[in-house]
Amino acid sequence: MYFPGCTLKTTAVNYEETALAVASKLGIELIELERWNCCGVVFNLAADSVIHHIGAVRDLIRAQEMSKKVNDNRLVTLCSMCYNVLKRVNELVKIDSEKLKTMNEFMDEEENYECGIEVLHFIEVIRDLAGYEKVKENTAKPLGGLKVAPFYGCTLLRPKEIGIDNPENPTVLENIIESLGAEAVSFPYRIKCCSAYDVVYDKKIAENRAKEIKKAAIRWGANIIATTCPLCHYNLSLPTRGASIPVVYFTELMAYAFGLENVLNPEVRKVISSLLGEGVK
Amino acid sequence: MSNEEKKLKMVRIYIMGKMYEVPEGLTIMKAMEYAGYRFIRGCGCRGGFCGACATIYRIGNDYKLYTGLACQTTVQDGMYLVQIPFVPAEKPKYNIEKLRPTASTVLYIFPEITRCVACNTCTKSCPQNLEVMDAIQSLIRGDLIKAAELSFDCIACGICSMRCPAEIVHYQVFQLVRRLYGKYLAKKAKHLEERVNEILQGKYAEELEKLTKMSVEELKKLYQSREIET
Amino acid sequence: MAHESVYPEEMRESIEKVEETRDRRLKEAFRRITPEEKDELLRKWHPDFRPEGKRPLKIGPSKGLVVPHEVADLIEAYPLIDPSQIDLSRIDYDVDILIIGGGGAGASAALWAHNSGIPAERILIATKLRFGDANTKMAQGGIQAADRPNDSPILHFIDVMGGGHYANKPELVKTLVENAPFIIKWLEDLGVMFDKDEEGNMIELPGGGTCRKRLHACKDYTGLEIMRVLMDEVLNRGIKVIEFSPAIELLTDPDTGRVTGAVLWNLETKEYYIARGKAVILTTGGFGRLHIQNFPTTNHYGATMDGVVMAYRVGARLRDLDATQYHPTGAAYPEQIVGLLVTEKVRGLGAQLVNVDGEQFIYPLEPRDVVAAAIIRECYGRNKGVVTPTGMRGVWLDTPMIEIIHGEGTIKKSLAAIYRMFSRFGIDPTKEPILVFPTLHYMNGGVEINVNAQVLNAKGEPIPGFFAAGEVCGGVHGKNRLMGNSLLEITVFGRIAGISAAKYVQNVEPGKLSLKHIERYVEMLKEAKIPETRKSPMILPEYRGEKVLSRAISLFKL
Repeated sequence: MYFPGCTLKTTAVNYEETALAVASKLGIELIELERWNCCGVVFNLAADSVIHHIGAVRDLIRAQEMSKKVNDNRLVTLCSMCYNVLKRVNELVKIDSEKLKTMNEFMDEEENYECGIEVLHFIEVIRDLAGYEKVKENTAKPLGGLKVAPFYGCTLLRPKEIGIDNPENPTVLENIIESLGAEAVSFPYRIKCCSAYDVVYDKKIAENRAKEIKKAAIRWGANIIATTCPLCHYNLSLPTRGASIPVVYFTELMAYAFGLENVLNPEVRKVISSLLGEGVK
Repeated sequence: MSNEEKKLKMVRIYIMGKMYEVPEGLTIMKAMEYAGYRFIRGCGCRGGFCGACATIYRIGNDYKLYTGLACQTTVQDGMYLVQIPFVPAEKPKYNIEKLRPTASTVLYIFPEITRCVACNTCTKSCPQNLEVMDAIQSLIRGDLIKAAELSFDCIACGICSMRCPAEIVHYQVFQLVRRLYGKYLAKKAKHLEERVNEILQGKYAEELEKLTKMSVEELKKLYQSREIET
Repeated sequence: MAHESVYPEEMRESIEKVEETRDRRLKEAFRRITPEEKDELLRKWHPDFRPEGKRPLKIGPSKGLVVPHEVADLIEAYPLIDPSQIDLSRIDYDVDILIIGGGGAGASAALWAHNSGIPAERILIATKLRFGDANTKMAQGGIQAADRPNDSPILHFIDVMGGGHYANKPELVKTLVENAPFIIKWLEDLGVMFDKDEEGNMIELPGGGTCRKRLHACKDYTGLEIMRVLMDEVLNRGIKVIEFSPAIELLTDPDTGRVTGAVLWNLETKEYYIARGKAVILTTGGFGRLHIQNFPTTNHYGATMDGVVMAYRVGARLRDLDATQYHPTGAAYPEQIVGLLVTEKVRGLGAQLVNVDGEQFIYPLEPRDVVAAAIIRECYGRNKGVVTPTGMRGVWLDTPMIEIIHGEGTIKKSLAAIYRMFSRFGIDPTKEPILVFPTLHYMNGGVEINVNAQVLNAKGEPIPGFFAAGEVCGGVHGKNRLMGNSLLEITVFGRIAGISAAKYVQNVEPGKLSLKHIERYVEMLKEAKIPETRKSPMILPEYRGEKVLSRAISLFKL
């Protein structure tokens, strides 16, 4: 089952389109939840503010309802922020049965959530279900010549209880990049925070951070940055003078490598093909 | 046998805390009138279309809050009720001609939509049984069309807005959404435009003028011989 | 029946018969009525034709006009105010265009006055309840306009005249049908969500008495959708609306008789306000809450004919008030919703009217007066009606047929309001038929206007400064209105009133205010020996205490 999240339907439509196409190529069926709502955006740290997690639990209930029809209890997300919220809420209610009871009773129009859903990020699915070999097999156009700096961002890796990889030294994106035939540039700022919602209050903070990250990637030899989260993508794409490097979603690279040109945004396609030294397709 | 002749079975209801005995089977609205209230606020079409008579009530010691329209809800013994005659929310003014039909337009005019925590209280309060939360959520994810469809039967009673912890005024949001859909997103009817132009050019003017001068006999003939489309 | 029914046992026996005959009836079309049969049916069974129900007016510009007693009682009545107690020197609202009545006609007039160049702050709508609380909101089935290639305003004209028994004012009908497509386009541009197919063509249905499918609808909330869009636009423009402030008397220039304003009364603070307008537009709607001949009604709470009363006192001529429209299908069960409208669209989608034995007795899409009379005859003449536990009689409207003809889910989608109305009380119209009986619905007649929406006096001349539009007017529909023409009338003539009034005010100064016409009217009343206890306008109906209990319809006592 697949949980899109609000941004995937509005400003990050290309992330979803390329991901679904790539998943299909890898033999993974992603079925969108029939009904879903916003996950709540951030995991609320206030211990007694139960209402902010209602949205996320409601989505887990939706997954629970649908799991009976599709016979699968796995819920996959693309957006790292949604992943972070849904995974942490899921873990919270598994431990804190009193909070879960309160929430179940409040949502008296729904069935009770029984903690049976597993929340995954798409990257985990690629790594654990499909495997890097399969990625290599499906690579019709190896991306030799691309020096990709993977940008993990923080919500994918932290807190470490729910991170999909080692929070200080992750490798999964590098492995995927290499399976696509490109060179992975493991620059030190790849796990730095993109500054998330600070961009709303003070754009300067985000611009400064984006500049730092991009300059570092360039200094380490990268010619393109691959992200996993729409908010990271937005922040890193802010115009920064003196540090110019294209930013794409990792699934867009995968789609290009798999030969699935038609689902790519034409701008992105142009960027990648010109970096590869190929004529514009 | 009229009602007056039948012995009326009575139930007890509490109107703003005051107990009244009213005949069983009356709607809340008629029960309040039976008790002696004369409506100024809180009564409109009396038929479930205008949202004037939004009522909130509990039954006996049950903690649950219920909502309904006074004109469409039958009284129950132990009903503890109050009407919501007005929802404090000034309508923001906008020029529909200058707006773009996107969800971001709606979010710009009503930014509080993003405060929605998906608690579903609005849906549970809606006397028309609409999926109110899903409509708001559709907007958050850019789907104007779905929001217009889900909110169409809204009668703007305001109960959802009064109970919403995020202080959204749903019915004002939905009114804008539906107008944007109707004006910009729904396809225009071409045949309508053609007919309007024909009339402007005077295509039917002469014949209509003739008809206005016809005798009743002539009109009768035309009426009785006209072909009816099946 | 497979499921749990809330219908009492006696009624369920009849439903079984309806189910037995359904398959056969799906292929049956009841024949159309002949003109001779129609005349006899109406004369014998339509409530309008009961001589005991009406009387001629004793005074005023339309003296001698025959009207129902309930109407005459309000017209032959004393004003609520004592002119000596009203201070006309202090003007509270001073505008160019004063609109009395906040329904579809009032909103249309306001918008078109604004479109014609009158600044928003010079327009004022005064309304009795909330803005939009009007019969407009309750109209369900549709609005007519001849905009398809196989239809034309000519056919629309003929339909309207025939349906109205040729008593309509022809030039008003011409105005109505000629402007219809433009009005639909205007509404479409404002954002009204009409039912359309995938190409954007309007989905149009037949109505009673129409020879073409020309009813445009918004599910079965057509009136609600139109009203709320108009309201939204009026408020967007900054046009002021004062609510809970009905007009209780008009004001006139003592020398010329020009209508120059109104006395408004704040229902909540019980204070009166003096409103002066260079032009006054009357859009006060109908008279359902007078419960003519004791019928229940589909109308909203404030439909008490205030406008006709006030207009008569300034000299307006009335017409066709002897023609009361009883909508053939008002809900007849359960008791809580007796009288509420069940839209003609239900019949437009194929549901048949069926008696206690499960048989048809009239073609469902005859004009309304014919169908209403036929139902009354079936229940009280032939005794083939269904009797409910409260003594109310009715016939079945076989709604499950719609699901069979148009597919499962049609009712929930296209008749959402009806579905809701009945399922609130445990009846599922997709599975069981619903019970209906005629209900008081529409004021066919009223104040007479010309094609410029100017109100006419006894001599047929326009009363200066005075305009009217909507249900309060007479002449457009003759003796019987067709479905979908009232939403059309309010928008067509509301627009014309707004434009006409805007033109009028360009060349006049604000008028002098007086209640001279009231003093003259009181003299007439005294001369005719009308009892002083009778006062009007009614403003709100009296339902307190036992009066609110369901009235049995005391018609045709056997």
